[in-house]
Amino acid sequence: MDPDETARVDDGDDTAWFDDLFAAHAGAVHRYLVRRLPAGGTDAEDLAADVLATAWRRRADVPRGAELPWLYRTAGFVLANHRRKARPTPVAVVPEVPDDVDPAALAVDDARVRAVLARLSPRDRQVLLLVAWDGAGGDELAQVLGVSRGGADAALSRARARLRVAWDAETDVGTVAGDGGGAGEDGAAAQAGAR
Amino acid sequence: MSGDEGRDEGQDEVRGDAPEGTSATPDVPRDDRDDRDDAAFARLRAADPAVGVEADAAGLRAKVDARLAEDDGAAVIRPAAGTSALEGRDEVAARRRRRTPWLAAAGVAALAAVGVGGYALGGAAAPSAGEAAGTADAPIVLNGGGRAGASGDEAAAGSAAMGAAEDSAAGGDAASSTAAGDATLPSWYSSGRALFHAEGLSGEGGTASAYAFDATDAATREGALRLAKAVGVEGEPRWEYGWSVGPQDGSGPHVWLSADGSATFSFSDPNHDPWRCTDAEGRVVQEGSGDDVDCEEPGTSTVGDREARRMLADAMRSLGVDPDAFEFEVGEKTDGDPSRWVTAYQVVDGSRTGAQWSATVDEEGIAWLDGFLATTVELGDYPVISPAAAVERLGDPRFSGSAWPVVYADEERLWAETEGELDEPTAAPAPPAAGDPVDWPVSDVEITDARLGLAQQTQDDGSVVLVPAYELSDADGNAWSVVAVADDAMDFSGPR
Repeated sequence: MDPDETARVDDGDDTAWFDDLFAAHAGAVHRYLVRRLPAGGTDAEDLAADVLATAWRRRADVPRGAELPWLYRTAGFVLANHRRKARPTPVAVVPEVPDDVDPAALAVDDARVRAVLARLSPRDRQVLLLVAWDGAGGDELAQVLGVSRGGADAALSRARARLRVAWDAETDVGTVAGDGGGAGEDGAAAQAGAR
Repeated sequence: MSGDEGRDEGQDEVRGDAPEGTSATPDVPRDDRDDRDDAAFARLRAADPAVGVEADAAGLRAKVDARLAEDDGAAVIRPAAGTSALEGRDEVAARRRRRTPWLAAAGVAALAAVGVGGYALGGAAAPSAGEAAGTADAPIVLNGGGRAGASGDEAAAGSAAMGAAEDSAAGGDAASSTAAGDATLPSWYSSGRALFHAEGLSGEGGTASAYAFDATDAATREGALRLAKAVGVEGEPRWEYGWSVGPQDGSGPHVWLSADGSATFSFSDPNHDPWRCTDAEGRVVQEGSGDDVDCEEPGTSTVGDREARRMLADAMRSLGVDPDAFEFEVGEKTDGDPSRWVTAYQVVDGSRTGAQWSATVDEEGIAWLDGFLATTVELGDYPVISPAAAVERLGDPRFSGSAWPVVYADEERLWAETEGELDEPTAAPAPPAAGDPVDWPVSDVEITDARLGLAQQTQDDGSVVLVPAYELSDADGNAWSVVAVADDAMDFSGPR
């Protein structure tokens, strides 16, 4: 049996759906991963391919019309898996919703932003970055988080309140940089490396 | 978890610290009113590491295809209808990787359950898969009218519009070209611009009831104590951006009560978390063995739909809330999911308000509970404009958020219509001739149906009102929304 030919005959709708999904969302999935991986790595494309391949394999489970939240959520799990393989993590602290952001490794060249993110809980970071960077909101945010709309709204409200408090607490950027482990790689170079 | 832990965790990582002075200028997005009073959020947004990042679409697609080629060929090409081959492989993967697939499966299940609650792109009024499919009308979400504030209402600005913005902002993304290149799509799909006109709608206004949430009694220290007692959380309330009772480190049940206009709260009981791996508590896994911790995989929940509804209704009653004022929906039972998801939608005057309770339950009780404790008070009758006048409001920038609908007719049809070859050689566009008019496509939308309902609106001071609002639909079933209260009953003074 020629797989390609069978795919065209039996699977035409699914193939077209997946082609559309890829065209519409592959870039967003890739950026989602770029945002959450250390700068300069080449993992983002590989992990994006994992996420998109998963979307095909589990296409029966992907809600039509709500593909992007599903992809973001899956990317969060793929990323968490990737991290667990990369370094030892106590399984006991693996939350039901994976912490898909490691503030210390973020390719953010704004020292204060990174320091403030490090002050926040994983959940708050996750919620804030989904909204601020990935453009998720409302029901989309709820679907990525796997909670109710009300729960997502409350989580975002809480996260924003804590962000403001943490922001005010990190007034002295110089002090924060020293506190966080000394001068590292130049931030601008780190960001350039992500491109 | 405290921020300090987060930082300790990452100390072995390279930290890129920008030179002082180079990053101190906040880049406030000019199109986001809310960011102006939230410098921290604006700075966060401006720090997006993926700005300017473009995926190599062809390379990425090649990697996806390579992964799929490694799969068992029969499974890959089998139509989705017969998923047994896929399931078989998933089971193998589950055994191999132990816990992670269960996390993933839980995510999928939760997604499916939330989906019936009304994701805009999927059709907000889609009936539930649960037994208790509601009869009330869907809540009306005001597009762009919400002021982002204490209750996180920026979400009300429309996730669909946000997604559209992201797609179009992404320039090289195929999404925009896919949509723009197909003349069979509604033009708001690509241009985001539309003019609306009414067809056969009444020009008569009237009155309608408005309501407000009163959280002043519930969102207090005493209210937090009552709440904690009712859900079985021990301890004194402490102020943590709201009233917080119980340990926050996951060692026991915790409840958090927001001092917002709805008195929203969230409760979690880690002892009931069906995915919790108690054997692994406190153990640090050695490098390379992260997948090998022996945790029992939870079995499929035996809680029935009725039982799930009863658990949530009992919790509501114990908090002085009448479940009869709500419509219940239970998420579809999923094989392998150890818990059930149940949501109660508030209904006022036959229309859902958008306020809701939800719970994740298992055999032992409630693991997570989200809800709101504010009482609903009547504000009396307000003058409302006619359906025809409401359509005119869609063209008034004071009321209209964007040309994107709040409810989509048939997203699957849109997908079908965007079918086509993905990557064929194309010619570059020719420049226009001298003197040619400038292209500025504007969609003409005919509104044929109007429904008067209620929309939840967070006011400038954070109080929440349920205001009369119209949902205005075209013949295809796409819908736009606009507040229905007449001008003379509105306060248009600038933000305070």
